[in-house]
Amino acid sequence: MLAALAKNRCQVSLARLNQALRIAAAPLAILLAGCVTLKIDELRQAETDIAASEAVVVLSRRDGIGLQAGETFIDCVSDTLATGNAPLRVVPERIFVDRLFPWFEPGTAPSKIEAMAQLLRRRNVAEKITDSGVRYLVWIDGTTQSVGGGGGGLACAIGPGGGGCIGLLSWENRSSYEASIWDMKHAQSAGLISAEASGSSYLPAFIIPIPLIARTQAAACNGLARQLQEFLTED
Amino acid sequence: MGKLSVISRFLPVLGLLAFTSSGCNTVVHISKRFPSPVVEPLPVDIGVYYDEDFRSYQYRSKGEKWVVPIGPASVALFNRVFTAMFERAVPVENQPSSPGRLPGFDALIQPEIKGYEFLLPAASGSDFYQVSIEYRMNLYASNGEVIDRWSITGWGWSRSKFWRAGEALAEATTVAMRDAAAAMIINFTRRRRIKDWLSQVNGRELSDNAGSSREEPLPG
Repeated sequence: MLAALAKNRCQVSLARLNQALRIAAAPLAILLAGCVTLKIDELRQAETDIAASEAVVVLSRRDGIGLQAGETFIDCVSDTLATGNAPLRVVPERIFVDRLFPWFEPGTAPSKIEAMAQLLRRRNVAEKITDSGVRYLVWIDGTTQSVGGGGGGLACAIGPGGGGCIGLLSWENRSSYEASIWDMKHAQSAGLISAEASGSSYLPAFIIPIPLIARTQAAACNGLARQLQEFLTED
Repeated sequence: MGKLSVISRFLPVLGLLAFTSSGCNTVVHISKRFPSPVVEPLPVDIGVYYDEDFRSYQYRSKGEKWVVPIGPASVALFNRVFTAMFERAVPVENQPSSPGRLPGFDALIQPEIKGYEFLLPAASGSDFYQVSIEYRMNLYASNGEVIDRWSITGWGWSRSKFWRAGEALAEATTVAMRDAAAAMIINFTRRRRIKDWLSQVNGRELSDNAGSSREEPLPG
């Protein structure tokens, strides 16, 4: 009886602790994240409509070392497009590129819509794209980088009695991405969307360093994907 | 008992010392899974010859820190490529330069690995592993005469991965191999000697979708 009561009390206190942690986690996450400014631009070149059976593929421009959007960013945009109020069917990049080997390799992928139209004249390539259900191809170009040299200073020391750091470091992050949307059905460019997110990150330290990171890449991904969703589903 | 206890405390340190002093190397695992190319096969029967040097090619860096077995993955890659590119592609054991030993084939193709190089992020000052691989392709007529010889170079890179250097190098190598194969497929029928040979063998025009027989420029 006592054991059961103790177990019950323990469960109640664990539940309270869990609730308290959840309440505390939200402002803590906001506090630990630096501020981010996001700017989205859109240029529409053609009308868009996408049927439920049609899909989108998000591809990274890979024609230069260090210039391409990373795998993480492409996955992030693809995942975000597949969720939300107007989720789209998304074909994973790797599957699409493998199915169309060798036409979407870094050295062979069409860089202009005219070259894509030419590629679509190959019967077997057109058939593969039709079979995959891909109506819109989204090329992502861009990168995230730290700009400026950063500022501040940080000193750390360790001794027999313990260790710690003191100081403040700060730096600027900038994520700049552009999405070109190609309509596979009409072999034409549908438009361009660009996302630019910037923010300052800080690392204050008083014994323990506490990173306050500006998550510019996540902001750019989310902003770009939501705008793409709106762009493709707009009547 | 006390001595044993002291020794057992130092066992992990001794193990670490033994590991670091053994001159261990990293064998990079290159995947043998490659996609099938989307091309219309050329109407020719081809014998495919891989010599032992090609099959077992291994890159070993100075000091043998890195071992990259490229041969087996290259065999898998070119098997995929040739099967898709030609109506019939059959592996043969005959030396390609033996005249008159290839009845039943229109030609014999033999790839060779001429070079493999990589650059680690620390050396390039970038965040990328960079790889280049050079293959030499040899195309022989059924009488053993050389139809054409040419080199193709593939480039690949991958972002560095914390504690997974081998994986990043393997990824960059696979990208380079695919790049070389893509160049091989797309440019094959653009080569003048090969075009002449194909028209001799078939005596007919190739369809627009066969291999990459178009005269139009490369996409892009």
